Amino acid sequence: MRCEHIKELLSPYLDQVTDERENQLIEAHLDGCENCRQELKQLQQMHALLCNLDAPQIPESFADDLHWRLLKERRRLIVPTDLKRPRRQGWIAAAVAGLALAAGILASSFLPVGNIAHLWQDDTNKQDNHAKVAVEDIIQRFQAWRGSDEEQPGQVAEAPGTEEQVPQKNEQPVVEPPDPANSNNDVEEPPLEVAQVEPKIADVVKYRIKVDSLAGSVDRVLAIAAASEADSTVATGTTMTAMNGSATREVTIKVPRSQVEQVLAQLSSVGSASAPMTEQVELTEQYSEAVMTFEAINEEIKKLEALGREEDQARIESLKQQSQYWSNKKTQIERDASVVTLKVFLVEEEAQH
Amino acid sequence: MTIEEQLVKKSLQGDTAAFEELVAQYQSKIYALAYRYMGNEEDAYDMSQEAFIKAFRSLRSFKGDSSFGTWMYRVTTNVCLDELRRRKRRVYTLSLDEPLATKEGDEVEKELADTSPTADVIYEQKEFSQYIQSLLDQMKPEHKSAIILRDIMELSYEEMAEVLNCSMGTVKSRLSRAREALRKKLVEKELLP
Repeated sequence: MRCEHIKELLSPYLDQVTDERENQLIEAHLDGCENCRQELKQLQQMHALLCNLDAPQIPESFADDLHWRLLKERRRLIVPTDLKRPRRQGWIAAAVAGLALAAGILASSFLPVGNIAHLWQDDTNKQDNHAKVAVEDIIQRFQAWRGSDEEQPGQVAEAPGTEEQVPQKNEQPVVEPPDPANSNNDVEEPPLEVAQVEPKIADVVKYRIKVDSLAGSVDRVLAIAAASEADSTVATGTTMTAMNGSATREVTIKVPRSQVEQVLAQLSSVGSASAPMTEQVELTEQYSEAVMTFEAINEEIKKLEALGREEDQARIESLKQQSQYWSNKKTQIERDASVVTLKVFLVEEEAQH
Repeated sequence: MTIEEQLVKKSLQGDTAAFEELVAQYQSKIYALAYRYMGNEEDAYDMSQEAFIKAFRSLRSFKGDSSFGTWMYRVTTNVCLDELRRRKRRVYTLSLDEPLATKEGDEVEKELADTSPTADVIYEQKEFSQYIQSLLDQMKPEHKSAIILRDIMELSYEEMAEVLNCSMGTVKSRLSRAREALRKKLVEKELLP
């Protein structure tokens, strides 16, 4: 047998994975071939060198680092996978649709946004096309919304500022686990379904009212807010002046769900009201993160406290502060999701012509 | 059910403590493996963290027909090779084991700009280790993997086939070629008799 053939077999021969017949061929050749004998010897020595290379020690921080990353990863994996928008009782749909008609706006016409369009655009609503929403569209969407859990109020609802992991988008309300067959990576799989977190969604209703006098109207709005349920909070924004000289004042009212319809109706008497625009802010992901982090930190605190070591005290203190932070965040989200935020824009227009 | 299987099952339910027990058993080997692929401790650290996180995330695809360790080698190998591929797109590295094609289409043996240390320095264990690493870093990924998994990490051919997701025959021929390239280089540097 020729040297080239034997040389190909030397590596498996070294590892003892050649069969009996091959072994005989190799050994017979090696007996008469100094060159191949030398090469086998070199391969043996190389193997010995390689398996005795000194490997660096794994740094001590490795397990601790990984511990925190795993906790974070677990939170990320615990995405509520069958999260659907909760069925609405219809109050907000009825209120908004009713007011749209009461405001005297023809179906299929657009909201008169004109010069104050930019006033509607806060950081949760940056795209221009969101400034105009056909009223007819709103009504239809709300009707569909009430009628079916599957249909979603498309553009009306917004999920602003969400991170990429947030599975809940308006266009795709029901979260489907990714199809493993479509995955390029052979070790990628759909996330674990470990726990469910109750969906948290905050409703924001934007309401624009043309008024004769800003000062008086703000007082009336504040009075309406105060007359509704006691835990309503009122925050007044600054006066803004639009291009055409109209002044706008933003009043934010947090109203319990049960009071929204009534408050909206009362507000419509303050001036000439446009159709309210509703937005939904998806807080489930944030809420899930707050809950899981809070629990993970508390677990860690318990573990450290059980050990009762002096050197852990500083760490426990710092963990307790973090725990407080996440607890506050959790409470804040719960509060935001339990009320409806009414953003009332009072617009005083100067006589134009 | 073995203890390892129990730990995998618990990890699948989101039990990070169970997963950390698995990590504790394999972290040294995984770190060593990542170190050989990446060539430095910092990248080895990052890549082995990444490998464990990825394993935790995709534990469902571990079917239990190999050991968890072998599967972990596979995840780590993929993580490291992906990262190296990503970097290679930015920096062209000379290859030790691929002949260089000339404009005329001939393949010529590559003359590497040889900045490597001389034999007597290399014999110092640390330098030797670094020199071997520099040679590995110049190899094609599949040859590099073969040498690392067999000669350095001492996996069996069956395990290698599992890690590299290829047949035993492929393992055999890749390893043979990889060893030949490395042997030549070491002989050239008079590091082998």
